[in-house]
Amino acid sequence: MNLAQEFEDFAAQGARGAAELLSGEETKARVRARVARGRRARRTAMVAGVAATALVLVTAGAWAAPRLTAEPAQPGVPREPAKPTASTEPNMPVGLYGLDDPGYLVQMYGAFRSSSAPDCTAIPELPISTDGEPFPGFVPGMPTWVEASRLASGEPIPLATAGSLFHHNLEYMAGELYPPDGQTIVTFIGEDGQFWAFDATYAELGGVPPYPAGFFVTLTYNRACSSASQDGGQAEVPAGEYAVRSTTTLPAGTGGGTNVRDIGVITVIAGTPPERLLDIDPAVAEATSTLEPWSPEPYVPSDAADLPQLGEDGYLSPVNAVAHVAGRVGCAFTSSVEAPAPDTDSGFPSPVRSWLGWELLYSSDRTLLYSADEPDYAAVSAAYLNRYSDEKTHVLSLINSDGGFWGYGVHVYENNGSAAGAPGIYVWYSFDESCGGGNRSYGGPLPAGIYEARLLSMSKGAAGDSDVVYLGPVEVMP
Amino acid sequence: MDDDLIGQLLDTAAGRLAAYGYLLTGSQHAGQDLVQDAIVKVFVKQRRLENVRAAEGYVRSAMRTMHLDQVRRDASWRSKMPQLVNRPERDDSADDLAARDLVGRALAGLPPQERAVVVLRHYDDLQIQEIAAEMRISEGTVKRYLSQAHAALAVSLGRIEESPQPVPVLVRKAKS
Repeated sequence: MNLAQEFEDFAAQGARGAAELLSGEETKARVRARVARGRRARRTAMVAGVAATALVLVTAGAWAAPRLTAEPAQPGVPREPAKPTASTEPNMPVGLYGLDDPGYLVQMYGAFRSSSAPDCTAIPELPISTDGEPFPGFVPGMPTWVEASRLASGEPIPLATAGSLFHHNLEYMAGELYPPDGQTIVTFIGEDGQFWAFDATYAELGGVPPYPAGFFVTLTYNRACSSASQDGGQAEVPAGEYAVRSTTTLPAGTGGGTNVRDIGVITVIAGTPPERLLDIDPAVAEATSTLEPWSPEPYVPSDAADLPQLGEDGYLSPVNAVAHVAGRVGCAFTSSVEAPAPDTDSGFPSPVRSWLGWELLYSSDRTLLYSADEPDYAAVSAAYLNRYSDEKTHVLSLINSDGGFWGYGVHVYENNGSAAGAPGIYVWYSFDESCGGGNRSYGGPLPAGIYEARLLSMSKGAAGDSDVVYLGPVEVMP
Repeated sequence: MDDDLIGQLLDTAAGRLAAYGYLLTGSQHAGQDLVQDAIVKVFVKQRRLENVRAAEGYVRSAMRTMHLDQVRRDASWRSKMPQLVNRPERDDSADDLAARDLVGRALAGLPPQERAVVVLRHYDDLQIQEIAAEMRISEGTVKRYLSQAHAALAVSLGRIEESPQPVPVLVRKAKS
């Protein structure tokens, strides 16, 4: 057999339909928009790289925080970035700026790898590197400022706008940056040499109030890694501008060492967070991200005809047991509560298949569970989730034999025929680190194996109740 | 101008690029994503692309590189994962077409590295040393992957004709 010819035929056959989609005006517009954003980010990175070389090392390891702007300053004419202020304009997101706006965080992309973990109090003394390509996993999506009160309280800080980091980071951070057990410290370094360190954890939140769905970083004050002379050892970082550097210490199993990244300059402001901080205008959200914004529409295969039928391998045997719980419960609850006796009257349909490829859990935009076109169970269960999607937040909790658990926000998408793929109701997942029990780094693949599966359905709002639905075991496959 | 070139590229070469993406990834959707990602990568760098043909060449090269990067990354992850179950590859998520087609089924049964090697060898017509350079592995490893892939493919496709490696031509200088 001549493989070259066979491959030609096979590829041509497989590309049918794809070519029409690719050459469609919609695709062209999308690609052009991505190219435009990429060029903008590239220009920004180059400017930042030049600016970074102007940084001056100061004694005692402190380094000056130059006022980086998106455009090169005129020689001899210092450019004054706009100070973030609480906007009074309606619908104007406070503190977020477009990439081209003065005051927006410009990344330096300076990064280097240390073979050993440095003393965390020596982080400010590490040299600055401007080597390397722009780092795709850490985009200019961080606000240019954070509130001192938010730093002090360890509240989640939106890294960017809801969902805008989701798509890219999920893959990149899982594969390269934040392997399991890696530790990230973010250090704010003032011009006077004082520095404040925070342990950083990343989370993709599923939309449980008060936070919208999106990608967040939580900074928890780390006194031991902060300079000792600050007032009272408190996390209250005085208002002002700070050079910010992150270090990620990698576990030995993933090569070890420490990645050091210079992020840029962040302004810390006093006061309480404005109420509209998270109410982000979509147009500005687009402008603040250099990445393709996460689309709420999941990947929908064009042909779902080969999905297994109910009763065949591939579908979960339902366990008709539902625990009704007063109030909203955390994901950890799902792994601790005893299963109630089966409720034969509830007839609750199984909403998940009996197995999932970990890459489906890993890249949430590619997870298809089923469409409503499929017979019986799948349609009913998707319809169930869809019916309550406005009222309840669903989290799929996968629990291994050791009691470790992994949480996934369950999202429902209804294709009424206007989008590509077969019309129907689709369900997909996004990893929710806040429901991860701390035993899985963001975005990393779930180990293959057999898991107990429970669906946590929580009423939205502060009050309300929760249902824990017991599902049959799920096999996660590599 | 570049926008026009992107449009022209997709108008004239979408079929070929989609086919290449499909062959590399085994999935129409992943193949389309790969094409789009590669176009973005090429055009963001604002290379001086003289015409559609040059752009297509760059995009194909970027597709190959990006796909191989992905294969490497996946392999790295897989090596760290406890392999608790050993089941056939993603039998539901492979394209339906691939599942029905003899060649598609045979390709889908190959590990990602072997699939990449065999596509680079027989579709891209790259030589062993070129494949080794692209994949950043040794020539010996390429040969091993190729041999294993041929053996696996032969089970369902019959004997594989190996494309001949070019015979190096020695040019002797005439003695003066």
